[in-house]
Amino acid sequence: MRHVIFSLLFFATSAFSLAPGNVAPGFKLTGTDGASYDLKEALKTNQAAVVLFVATKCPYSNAYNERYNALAADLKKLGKKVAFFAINSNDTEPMDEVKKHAGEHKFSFPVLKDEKHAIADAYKAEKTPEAYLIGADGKIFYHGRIDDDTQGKKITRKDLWVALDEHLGGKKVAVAETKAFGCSIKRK
Amino acid sequence: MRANLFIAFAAACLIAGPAVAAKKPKKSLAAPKDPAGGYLLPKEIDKLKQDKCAFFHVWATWCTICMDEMPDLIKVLKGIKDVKPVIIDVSSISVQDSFSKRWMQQLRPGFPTYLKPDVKDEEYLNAIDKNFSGTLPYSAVFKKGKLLKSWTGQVDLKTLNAEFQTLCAK
Repeated sequence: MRHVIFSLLFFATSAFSLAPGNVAPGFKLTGTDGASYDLKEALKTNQAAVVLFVATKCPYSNAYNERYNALAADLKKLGKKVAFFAINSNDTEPMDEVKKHAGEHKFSFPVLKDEKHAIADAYKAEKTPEAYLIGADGKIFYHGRIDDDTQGKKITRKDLWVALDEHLGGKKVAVAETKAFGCSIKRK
Repeated sequence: MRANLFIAFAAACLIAGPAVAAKKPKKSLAAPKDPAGGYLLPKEIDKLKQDKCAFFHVWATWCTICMDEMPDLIKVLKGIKDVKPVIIDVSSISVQDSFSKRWMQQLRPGFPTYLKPDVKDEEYLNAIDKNFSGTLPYSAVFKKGKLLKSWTGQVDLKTLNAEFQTLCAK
């Protein structure tokens, strides 16, 4: 029995994140600007939503800070309504730190604080950065990375953008799930 | 007095020098093999999985758990026989060069350790395990190319050897 318990602890495999096709869990979170943000409400007036799990200390997430801003700016220029949510679920990164980090990197978007990682758990999000694209029907149509080069020097495919473009164009998303290394979401 | 000492020292060197040079250096005195096994290409990963019991462990410097557990993990792995450790550092090349290669040498694993080359993450993740999401630390046990178990998170060092015996003996 003891051996079985040890085995379970030792080989606790990660639960897979919610895959495309699943209904995205709703959330209502407070942002670094003090406002409240509701996914379901946003989807009533937007054609899609970007949900990004981010961090303040993770080098992989921080490598994307400028690209987060560029993505938010590009979404505004798109001419189609797409909501953008950046969520910090790390228990080790309190709201004050998230606010400071957002200010230092001049984020043009609020970062929502996911207290006690409830939303990360609902999405089974594992790491930062980790992106989900959600359609107006509330279903996930893309899950994975933002692009295929963390360092940003050899990007050959902007996976998130391609998936969004295909979805908004009424096409089937060709690559709906991608992978990359990332920092684990810190759950106490 | 000082001149006498110098003469005695020079004479000793002349006598001992050729004798020392003629001796073969003892193996134990040879420079330690670079523990960094070097860049492990995706196509080479499969060969390492073919061992009768291969323990893959993927880490990076930005992973706090990885850094905390690595010294103890290496100590434990050094004491385990019949298991091939395949420890892969997936930090960026610049971090590998500036820190992790040196750090790994200081830990003196006694077995080769590996570095992720500058290849796309997804190609690398899939070469290790198609179900590997990229969250670190990641560990897996392979036997003759077959994945027996995999997990993310800290390694339970107390049960590691017992688990290898149970899994690889099957």
